[in-house]
Amino acid sequence: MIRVLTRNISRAPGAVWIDAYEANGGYDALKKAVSMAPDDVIKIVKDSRLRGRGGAGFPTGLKWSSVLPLEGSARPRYIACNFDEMEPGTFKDRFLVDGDPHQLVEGMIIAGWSCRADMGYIFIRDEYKITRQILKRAIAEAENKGLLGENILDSGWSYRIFVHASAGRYMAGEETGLINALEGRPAMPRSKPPYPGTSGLWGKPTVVNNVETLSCIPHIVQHGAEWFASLGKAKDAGTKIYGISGNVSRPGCWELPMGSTLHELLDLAGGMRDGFKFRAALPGGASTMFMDALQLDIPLDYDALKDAALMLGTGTAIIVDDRACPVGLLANLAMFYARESCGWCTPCREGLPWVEKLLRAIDDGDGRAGDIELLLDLIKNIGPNTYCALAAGASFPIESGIKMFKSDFEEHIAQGKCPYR
Amino acid sequence: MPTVIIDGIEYEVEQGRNMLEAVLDNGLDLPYFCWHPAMGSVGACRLCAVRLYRDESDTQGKIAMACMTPANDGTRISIQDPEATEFRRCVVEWLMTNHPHDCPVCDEGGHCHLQDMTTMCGQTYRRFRFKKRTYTNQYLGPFLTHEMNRCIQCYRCVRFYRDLAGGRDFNVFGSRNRIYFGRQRDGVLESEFSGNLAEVCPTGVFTDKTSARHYTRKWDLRTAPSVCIHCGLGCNTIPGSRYNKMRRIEGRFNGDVNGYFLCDRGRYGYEFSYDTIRSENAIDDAQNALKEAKGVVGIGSPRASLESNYALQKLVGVEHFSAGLSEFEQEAAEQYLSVFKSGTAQMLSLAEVELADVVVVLGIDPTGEAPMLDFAIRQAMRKAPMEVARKLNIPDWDANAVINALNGAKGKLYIAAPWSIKLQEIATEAINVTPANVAVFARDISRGAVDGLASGISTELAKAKKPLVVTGISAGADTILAASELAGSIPGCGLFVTAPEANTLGVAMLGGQSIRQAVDTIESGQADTLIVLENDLARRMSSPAFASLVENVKNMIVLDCIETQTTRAATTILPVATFFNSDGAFVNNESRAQRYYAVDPPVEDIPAAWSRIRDLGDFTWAGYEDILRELAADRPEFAGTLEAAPFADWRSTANRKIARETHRSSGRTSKDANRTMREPQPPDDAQTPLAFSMEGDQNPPASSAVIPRFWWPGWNSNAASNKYQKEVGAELHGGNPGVRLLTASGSEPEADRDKASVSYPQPAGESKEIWLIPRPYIFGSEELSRRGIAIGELIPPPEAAIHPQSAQKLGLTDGGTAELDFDGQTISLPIRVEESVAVGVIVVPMGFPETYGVTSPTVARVK
Repeated sequence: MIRVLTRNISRAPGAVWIDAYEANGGYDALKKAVSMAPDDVIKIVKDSRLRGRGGAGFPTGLKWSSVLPLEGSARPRYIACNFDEMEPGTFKDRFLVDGDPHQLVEGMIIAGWSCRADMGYIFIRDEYKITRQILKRAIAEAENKGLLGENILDSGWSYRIFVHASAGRYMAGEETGLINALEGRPAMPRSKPPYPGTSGLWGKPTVVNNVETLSCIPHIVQHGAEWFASLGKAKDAGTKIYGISGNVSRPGCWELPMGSTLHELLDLAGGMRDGFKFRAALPGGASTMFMDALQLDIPLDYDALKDAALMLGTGTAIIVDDRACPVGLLANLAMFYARESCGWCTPCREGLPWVEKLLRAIDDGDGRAGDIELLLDLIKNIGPNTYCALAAGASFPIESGIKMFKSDFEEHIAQGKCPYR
Repeated sequence: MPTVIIDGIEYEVEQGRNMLEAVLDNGLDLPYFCWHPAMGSVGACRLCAVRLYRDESDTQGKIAMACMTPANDGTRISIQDPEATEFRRCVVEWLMTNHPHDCPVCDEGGHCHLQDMTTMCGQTYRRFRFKKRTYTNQYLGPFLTHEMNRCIQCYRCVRFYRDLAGGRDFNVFGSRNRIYFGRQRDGVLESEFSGNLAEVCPTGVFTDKTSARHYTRKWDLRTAPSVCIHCGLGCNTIPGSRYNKMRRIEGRFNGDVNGYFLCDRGRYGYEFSYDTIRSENAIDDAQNALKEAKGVVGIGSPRASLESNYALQKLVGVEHFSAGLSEFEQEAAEQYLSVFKSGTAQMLSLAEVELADVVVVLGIDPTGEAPMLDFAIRQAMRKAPMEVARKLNIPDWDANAVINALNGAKGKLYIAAPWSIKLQEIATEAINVTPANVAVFARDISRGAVDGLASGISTELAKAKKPLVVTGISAGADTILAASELAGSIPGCGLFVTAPEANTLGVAMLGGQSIRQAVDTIESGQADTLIVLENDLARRMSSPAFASLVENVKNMIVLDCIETQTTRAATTILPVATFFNSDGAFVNNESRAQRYYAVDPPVEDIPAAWSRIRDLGDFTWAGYEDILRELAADRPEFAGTLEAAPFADWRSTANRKIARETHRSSGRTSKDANRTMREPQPPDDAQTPLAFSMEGDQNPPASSAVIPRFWWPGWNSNAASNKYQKEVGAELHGGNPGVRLLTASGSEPEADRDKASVSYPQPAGESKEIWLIPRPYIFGSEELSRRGIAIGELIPPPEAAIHPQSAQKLGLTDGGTAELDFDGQTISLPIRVEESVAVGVIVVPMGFPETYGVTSPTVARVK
């Protein structure tokens, strides 16, 4: 099994701290990067075809170059690490940082060097209290070794990293919602353009990257773009932390080459628990479309899934078994999205609660003829036309779920009750 | 000019517009909520969805928000696209899931943007079968009713209140579908512009609480174009009445003056009209008194029309006419006129103030004296660093992106005033100095002080793209002179000078004696009869002087609409119509002559003041326009008043008068049925091109000065104003109303330093002497509005504010009583010791009954 991002993760005492990290080649990549021109580092990242691991899959090198040209651009410039990890069913970033915090810190520093940033913020989900302490200690360790702070590695460049705990909204994990939250404002999204690379945190050039994305950076710099690109099984580059939850024998996450299949993942998880049958899966957190048993061999990467009208999302799958009521499941999902709507734009704020109420009514046996059509009509209009991607994220599982589980819906409405209860 | 394609048709648009503006600019309809012409786009409501095509070959397109789409050359959209149309309907349907269907009992009904947009989007059938959301409402003070259940979360209120008006006690709370707009807890809204929440709210969350006491639907209001009487800026208003009673005031868009907004004094001051004089008609007594008089002196008024003042001047003769200003004001106004005519500085309009990037405020308190100037300066400071956003290719209308890019950057604002004015909260630097030292400070700046704040300001002004110096008549003649020198010393620098009352500049231009001279004429026995026009002399002279005048005058004929100390001292009172019941012209602080038209005909045969004066003399004027014509012939500088607005013989393009009542006015034949079963003849209005009834033209008039209301088929709310504008948010069709009378002649300003210094008696070294300064408050200092019910609730308690150092020197303590001797009178007020006033001054509220006689900065002795 290939271990890149997880290579330092072990139960050995002290494995998470800087001595162990450096003993295993840690911060060599940073030293290499600092000897290179920032533009060249960006070029390597571009060439590696690394795509954002937060869910949207935006090419990281391209995002970094949005702050270019550096001459004449405003300062201070910022790197923000998105460690909000509030996507339902997703638990890969905490796994990475709990086991190897310096990998993220090094990735943040290289990102900072490449964009000539002045400050970095790690925006971390508030519930990750222990992880926060681990990160703070890792940052202090790096500072003590002159890898962070003033005049890093005698390069003349100074950069600091701060850990900021989220106030706790799903929207704080949206790129621009995160920026607003960091500024101390409600976590509402911003319109794009202007993109954060132009006008981000406090109106200054900002790059926002996911934890897993930044964790890839040291390896790319160390081993080169080609090496990283070759790690992927299919079109996409690198490895991916895939995860699985639901009624499987061993839920968890694994590092696999990009483009592995859900089939492989299910095998690693030991298959379904006794008495449960696989029915469907949300392949990448809650904001993706359902896939069924016939789609288990589709490579889990951005393009292959897109070709199948699916999405990779965060790559942590939620498995739906045959004993879970899909209507209730969708009602719960809708409740989450309606609750986590920031309240800025109308379709999301007013439309999703209606969807939730309809789904709940059907689940409670109060469904009426025409409700399915009404739901699909609402979703069709809400999904693509909102200010940010939250409502779209809500519409993917709900729309595909209604279509996939239509018979369950019809049964609920016809019987006037939930057949699973 | 870019050409855009809307539903296959090409339209030209101005550079830098967005597609919603492009659509509205070209007279097309596209529904919207969160966009506002004065506030830009934020993309929150999603109502202005259209289909946007990449280019000619693109047949798919995508749904986009017009308000967030730049109107570039070749931008191609479809409004009629079925999917976009259906989506817009959906947006309204979603909003309607929670909006109460309480239109019949909602004060917004009939001029509700939400009603209009719901109809425009074709949302007619309710598919939502669940319960609606409910909120708890708040008490927000006497001006606004709060009904959050009606909220459609367009965010206009919070954006207006915080981003534009600079308020901090109102915000948006919560998230998801529990978003709440209000205060942290119940309480009176602190902003002086809170009433505009009712203006910007597209539905009935914020409605006019004063109007609710005597509610009338918009379609039942009789409305007329009017001008605010409560300060000298001349904001344009639309007062509405029914049954000859004033019901409410709304802003009347004027792109050169107030734009869309009004201050709370202007919006709620109308309630003074409930408290007017209705005494016996004593015209015979007055005529007899004049016949027997041994010399007559006339005192005009800055709150009376140009026509009435001129009529009085004609009646008594120029040599016996006083403009009715205090000594201090008269002198300052004359100085201002001479500065204006000299052309040393460029005199700006209120709208132009919003374009300044470095502003120096000298010796006045815009918030208390001319609140919309405070608002304009806030807009200037907000927009000044716009270049930062433009460099990032962010269009000016992308409101939140601009805010983010600017990151709190503001224009430079410097203030020198005797007390900490509210604008200090956004000032770069501010100093509190005595009134006389304001002028000294201004001269330090213009003469290039070598160091310190003055030098810094001088540098900033020189660097500025649009520098501006702001002062006012209330700052005194010497400060105006110093301000004009300062503005004149910087290339391209603007000057803005406030005038305390609606027609201060008008009467100052008419000229005449000061009140002091007029009173001297009486007291010396050269005249025994005094005619006072709509002026409370007790507010403009010391109490002993007023008492002496009353003692010495044989006949005092007072024309007024309200009861004042002067009417109480009159030998003959001639009640006159309020300005809501009469027509006339005011000249605002930048010499803009503007016409106001009566909303209602005179009540109980109480005529306009000019007509009383006509009856006192031997005049043949048929109407106020005859007086104006005579004035213009007599005094060429007033010629512009003839162009400011149309006269009685003007007719619309359909050759009709303009109807003050709407075509939907209900009870047309029955509203007087409790009194008479006969349908009375609608009152005739021979004086103006407007009809008091619904008979007449309802279309937007070709002359913008006679717009009685903003209404357009399908647009019942004030948003209909977009149909009256050349480009939405800019100039009205037919030009913005009003004509500027003064132009620069290039003459040297009269600079009579000796005379100017008279305004500022210096406190002697004696330890018990101190500057006594009247401070204008938005609520309480202005004579008429303070009589209003709602405004009356917000008049602060009269107190004397003094700096701790001065308090210690004079032995005054916080909470104690200050007894102040000046000009032979004594006032006593509770003391408030605070650092927000200059050392060496004691500041008292202007125009409060407790402070009558404190007309200008003066020297007082502390007892």
